[in-house]
Amino acid sequence: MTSPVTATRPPKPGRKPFHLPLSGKFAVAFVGLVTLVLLINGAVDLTLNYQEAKQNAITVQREKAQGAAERVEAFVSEIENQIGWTTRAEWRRVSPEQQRYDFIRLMRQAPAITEVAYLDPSGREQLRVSRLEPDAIASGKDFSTSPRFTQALQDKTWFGPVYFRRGSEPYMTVAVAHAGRDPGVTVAEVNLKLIWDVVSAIRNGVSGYAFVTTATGRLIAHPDLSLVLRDTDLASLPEVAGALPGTAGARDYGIARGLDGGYVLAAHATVPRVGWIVFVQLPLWEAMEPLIESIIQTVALMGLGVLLAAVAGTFLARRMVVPIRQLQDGAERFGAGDFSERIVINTGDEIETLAHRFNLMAGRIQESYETLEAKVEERTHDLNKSLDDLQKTQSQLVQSEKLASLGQLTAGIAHEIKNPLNFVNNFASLSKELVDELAEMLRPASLDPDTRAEVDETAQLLKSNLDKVVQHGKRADSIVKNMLLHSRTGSGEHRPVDVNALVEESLNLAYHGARASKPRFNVTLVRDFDPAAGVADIYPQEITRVLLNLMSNAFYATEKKSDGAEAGYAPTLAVSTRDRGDRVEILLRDNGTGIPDSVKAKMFDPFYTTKPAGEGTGLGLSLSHDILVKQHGGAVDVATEPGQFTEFTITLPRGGVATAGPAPAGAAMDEPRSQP
Amino acid sequence: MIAGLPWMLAGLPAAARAQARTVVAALWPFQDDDAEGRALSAAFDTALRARAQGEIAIDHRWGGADGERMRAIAADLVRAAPQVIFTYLNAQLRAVSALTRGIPIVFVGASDPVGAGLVASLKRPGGNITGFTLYETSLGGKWLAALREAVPTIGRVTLLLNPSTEIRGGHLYANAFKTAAAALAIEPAIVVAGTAADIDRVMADLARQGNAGLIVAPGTFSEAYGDRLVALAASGRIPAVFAIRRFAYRGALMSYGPDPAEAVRRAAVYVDRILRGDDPAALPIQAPKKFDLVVNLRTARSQGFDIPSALLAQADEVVE
Repeated sequence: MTSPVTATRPPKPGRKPFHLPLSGKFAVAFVGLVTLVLLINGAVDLTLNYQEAKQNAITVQREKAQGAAERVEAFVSEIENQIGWTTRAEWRRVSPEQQRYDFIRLMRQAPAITEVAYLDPSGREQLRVSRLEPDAIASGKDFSTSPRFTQALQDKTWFGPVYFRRGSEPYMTVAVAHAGRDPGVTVAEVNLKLIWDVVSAIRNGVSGYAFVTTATGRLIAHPDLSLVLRDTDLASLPEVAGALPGTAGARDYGIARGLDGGYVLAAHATVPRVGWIVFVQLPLWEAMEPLIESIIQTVALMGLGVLLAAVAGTFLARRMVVPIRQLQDGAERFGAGDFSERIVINTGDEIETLAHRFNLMAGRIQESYETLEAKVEERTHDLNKSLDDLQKTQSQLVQSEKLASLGQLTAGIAHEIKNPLNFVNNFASLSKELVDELAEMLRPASLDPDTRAEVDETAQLLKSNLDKVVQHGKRADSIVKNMLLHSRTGSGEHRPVDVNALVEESLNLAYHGARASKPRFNVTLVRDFDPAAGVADIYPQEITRVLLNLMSNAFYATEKKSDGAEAGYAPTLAVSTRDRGDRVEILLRDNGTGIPDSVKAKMFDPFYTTKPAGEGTGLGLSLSHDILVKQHGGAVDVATEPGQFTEFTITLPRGGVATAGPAPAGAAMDEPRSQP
Repeated sequence: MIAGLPWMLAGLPAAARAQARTVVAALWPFQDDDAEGRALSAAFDTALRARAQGEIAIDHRWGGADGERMRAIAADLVRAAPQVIFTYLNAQLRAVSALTRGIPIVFVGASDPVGAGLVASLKRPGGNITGFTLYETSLGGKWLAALREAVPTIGRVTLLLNPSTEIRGGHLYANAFKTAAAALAIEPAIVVAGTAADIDRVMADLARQGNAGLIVAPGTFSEAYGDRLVALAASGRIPAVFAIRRFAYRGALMSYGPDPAEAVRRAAVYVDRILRGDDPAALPIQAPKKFDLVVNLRTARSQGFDIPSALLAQADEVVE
C-alpha cells in the first residue's frame, strides 16, 4: 500500500493548482462528448454525402451527356432522313421539275439545309437548289472525284467535315447516295447554327449547359452562338483536350476549368456518326449544391446540437451540483461539530442516499459524543481513585520499606548492644554483690566510726548507684529485647484460629494484666462478636501481641482521659468482629483521648511514642503494623476524633498468611547473653 | 433652409438614379409615326428590357429617309454619348460609325460590312461595331429567279437600288442580279433611285414595257417609298419582288428576305451583352438563319398572274 503516500501528499504551497468546479467538469465532459459524437457523425455524414453527391452529380452529368449526344445525333439523323426521301431508286428518272419540287420540299422540311444538289451517277451536278442563290439546273459541275460523291457511294451516307462559311458560320456537307443500281447522290449543305436550337434546349441544372465540338475541338454548337461564330477552338481547354480522340483520358467526365474560368463538372459523349463530341458541363458549385446544402444542414444541426448540449449540460451540471453543495455544506457543518441540522436532499438518487448516510453518521457521532463525555467522566473518576489508591499503596510501601530497613537496623544494633549491655548488667549485679561482700569484709575491720560511717555511706551510695545501673540496664535490655522482637516477626506457627476466641482471650488477658498493674483501673468492655467471623489462618501469637498492644493503648488512653476528665466519664472499649467474606474484620473502639492529626501521621513509625519516657518503647504500633500488613497481608486502619474516640480496624484475610513469615535471625538472640 | 431640406433629400436619389440610368440610343430609318418603325422599336425595347437589369433609358431617334436630316440626328446622338448605339440599315450605320470609334454600335441590316470596310471580319469585327446582317448580296439572283418563276413570260426586270447600298463603285446585289439575268435570258436593268421622281419614272417605263418586272432592293429609300412603289406596281400591273417582307403584305406580289423583327430582337441581346461588359470587337456578326418567301395571291390574282405550284411550295407565307 504505497499509493496513498502520493495520494495524501499535500499540494505544494505557493502554486495553487487550477480547480475546475464539478459542474464545470461535468458540463465540459457532457458538451465535449456530445460535440465529439456530433463531429464524428457530421464528418462521416459529410464524407458519405460528398461521395454520394459526387457520384450522383457524375452520374447525372454522364446521363445528360449521353442524352445530349443522342439529341445531337437525332438532329443529324433527322437531316439524313429528310434527305432520304430524295434518294429512292427511281428518283433520278422523275422529271427535273419534280426533282426540284422535291428539293424545295426537303428544304421546307429541314430548315438547316441551305442548299441541296443532285449529282448524277457520273458525279455531275444536275440540280442545285439554294436559299440564297438562284437554282442551277444541269450545271454539269464535276464532283466525281470529290469525297461527297465517292464516299457517299461507298458508305451510302457521307458526313463531310465541318467548315465555316465566310470564316464564321459552321456548315457541314451531307451526301446520301441513292438507292438502286448506278445511283446518284443528293448533297446537302447543312447550316449547323441550327444545332443551337438543340443545344440551347438542353437544360442542365440552372446554369449548366451543353456544347458540341468537332473531333479536333472546334466549337460547333454552344448556347452562346457568338462563340460558335467566332470560330472558337477549344482544343486547348482542359475538359475538351481530355476528351479529344487519341488522348489518354479514359474517363468521360472530369472536373476542370470551364470556358468562363470557373470550375465545372463536365461530362462528354461522342456522336459517332459525325465524330463530334458533346459536352455537358455544370458549375462545380451547382453540382455540389446538394453537398453544400448538406454541409450547411449538418453544421447547423451540429451547432444546434452543441448549443442544446451546452444548455442541457449546464442545467444538468447545476442540478447535479446543487445537492452536492448541500452535501458539502452539511459535511462542513458536521465537521465543525454542529449537529443541530441534518442534510435535506430529495433527489431520489445516490446523492440522497449519501446524504442519508451522512445524517446517520452525524447521528452516530453525536451519540458517541454524548456517551464519550459520560465515559470520560467515569474514567476520570476511576483514574482519580486509582491514583489515590496508588498513592496510598505507595506510601504504605514506603512506610513498610522504611520499617523493614529500620527493623533490620534495629536488629543489628540490638544485637551489638545486647552483649555490652549484658556485661554492664551482669557486672553491675556482680559489683553490687561485691559491694555487699566489701561491707561484710569491712565490718570486722576496726575503723573509727566516722570512717566506718563514711565507708558505709559510700558503700550504700555505691550499691544504690549499682542498683540504678541494674535497673536502667534492665530497661535497656527490655528495649533491646523489644527491638529484637520487632525484627523477629513471624515467629511461631500459623494455623487456622477461631477469631472470636482469639479476640476474647486477648481481651481478658489485657484487662486482667491492666487490673494487676493498676488495681484502680476500671473500664467497660463491650463485646460484639460476629458469630460468622469464623476461622482465619493466622499466626495466633503475633495477632495476640497486636491485640494486646492495641488494647493496652486503648486502656492507657481511657485511663489518661479519666485522669483529667470530668465526672461521669465511663471508659469504654468496644470490641467487635465482622465477617467480610474471605476476610475478617476486628474493630477496637475506645472513647479515650483520641489521636491528634500530627500524631496520626507518624504513629506507625518505629520509636515514635507519646508516652512519657520509660513507659513505652515506641515500637508497639510499628510492630503491630508489620505483623498485620507484612506478615498477614492484612490491613490496619485508624479512625479517630481527638478527645472523642479512636477506632482501629484490623482486616485479616482468611485464606492464609501472605508471606511465610520472614523470620529475622531473632531466635538465636532471644536470650541475651549473660556471660561477658 | 429647413424648407429646402426635403428638396435636397429628394433630389439626391433622383440624381443618383439619373446617373445610374443606362442610355441606349437607337437610330431608325423611319418617320416617327411609321407603323413598322413602331413595331420594330417596340420589339427592341421588349427584348432589351426582358434581359437587362435595372432601368434602361432607350432613346429612339427617327431619321426618316432624308440623308441630311439623318446625319444631323446621328451627330446629335453621338454627342449625347450613350453607352450603346443601335442602328437600323446601312446608311444609319455609316452615319454613326463615321462619327465615333468609341461608342459601341450594334447594327441591323448592314449588308456586307466587311466589304464596306466597317469591320475586320464577321467572326471578329475588331472595332466598336457589330451586329446582324439581313440580306445577302447573292439574293439579287434569288429575287430574279423568284420573279421569273412567278411570271415565266417576263422579259425584262429592273433592279431598283438605293443609294445607300453603293459599295466600292458598284452596288450590292447588282452582280448577282446580272449573273442570274444572263442565265435566265432576261434583260436586266439597274436603277438607283434616290427620289420619288425617280420612282415615278421607273415605274412608268416598266408599265409601258408590259412584260417587265421590278425588284426592290432593301434600303432606307425602299423602306420609305415601299408603299408608293407597291401602289405604282399595282396600277401598272408590274410584278414586283421586294426584299422587305412587309410589302408583300401590303400588296407587292412577293417578298423574299429575313424577318427584321427577329434580327432586331437578337441585336437587343447584343446591346445587353455590351452593357454587361462584352467587347463588341469580339462579338461576331451574325447572318439571318432563314429567309422567307411571302407570296401575295391577292395581288397575283388582281394582276392576272397564275403562281405556279412549285413557287407556292417554296412560299413560307401566302397572303390571300
